[in-house]
Amino acid sequence: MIPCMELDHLKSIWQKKADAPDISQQKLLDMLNQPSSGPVASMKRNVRFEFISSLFVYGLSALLFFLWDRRMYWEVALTFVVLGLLFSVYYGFKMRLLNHMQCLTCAVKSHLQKQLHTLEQYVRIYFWTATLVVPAMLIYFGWLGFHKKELYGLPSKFGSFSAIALPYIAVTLLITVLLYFGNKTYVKRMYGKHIAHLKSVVQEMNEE
Amino acid sequence: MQQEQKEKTFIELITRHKGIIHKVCNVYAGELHAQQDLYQEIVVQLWKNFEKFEGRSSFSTWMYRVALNTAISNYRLQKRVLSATTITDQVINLPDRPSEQQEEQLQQLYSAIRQLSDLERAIVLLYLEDHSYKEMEEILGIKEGALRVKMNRLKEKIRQRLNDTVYGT
Repeated sequence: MIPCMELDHLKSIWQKKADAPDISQQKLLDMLNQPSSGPVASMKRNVRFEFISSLFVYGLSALLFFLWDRRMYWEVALTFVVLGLLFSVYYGFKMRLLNHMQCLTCAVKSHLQKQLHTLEQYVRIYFWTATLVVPAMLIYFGWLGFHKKELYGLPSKFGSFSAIALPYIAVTLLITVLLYFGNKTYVKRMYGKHIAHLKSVVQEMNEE
Repeated sequence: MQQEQKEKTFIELITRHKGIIHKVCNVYAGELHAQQDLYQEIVVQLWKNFEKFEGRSSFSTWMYRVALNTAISNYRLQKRVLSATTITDQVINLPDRPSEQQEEQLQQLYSAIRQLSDLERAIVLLYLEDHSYKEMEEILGIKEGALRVKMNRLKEKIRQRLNDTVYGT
């Protein structure tokens, strides 16, 4: 017998046969206590981990410099405290974006548009922070060394622009360029496919 | 006590509408393991968002939204679909008994649906579940007129794919 492969014919088979297997109430109850394995939940877990790690690293660095020689290195210690605070604001902002990334109870189109928009914003913030934070620190510590060379016991040629500052700026620029392309590749690998996937679904939804 | 009552109500509703999760998982995840993961993720998200259900729409409409949103944005799980059995991999052997034939047709239909884009899968799923275009608009957020046009194209697309499989054209 030749089967009819029209969707409207298959619809009746679907409704008759596509029954769901039974699942025990206990199994469902167990599922309620499981953490989400979705991409947003794992991003939140990463942000929490990064936040705790940065607090630990910057806090410890500040403490070490402060205890080492508070008269000489208090500015360095303070820099690490400020960096820790800035990173806390950064992680707080990232967490806020992640909390607004999903609206699972909304219509599919608005949920995906929201997720795409927020994810792009999240990736932009991550990219520019990760690219600029190291050069900014290098510039700041360079400036600190240049102005406090006597205090830190640095050689006198540290004050010479051509001997130290110029190569220092060149290295900082090189690092910035490397970070720019490195982060671009990393972001593309981490989020590129997901963003492309969301874009294609949203675009398809907007087509008439 | 209140939490227990909430859990009980939730479990009852989920059990009553378990077919929705099952079908969404079948359509969006190919392998059994990926289906189980997606099933759990949908249940977790339904539970997390249960407080937001205000009864403005029916529970099944609300459930479809959460389940489809979870399945479509869960790109990691979907990637595993690629290694799932595709319609062209299947050996066509239609049995004589009608029930078995129907089962076979159903599996072919699932395979054909899994080859569609995420949006197309959602539209076909809702169509097969006999939702009106108005309800589909409410779940997907796409205008009724556009849905009709897409559905007509999809009927033809699926018919061709299924016929290619069955008749080998």
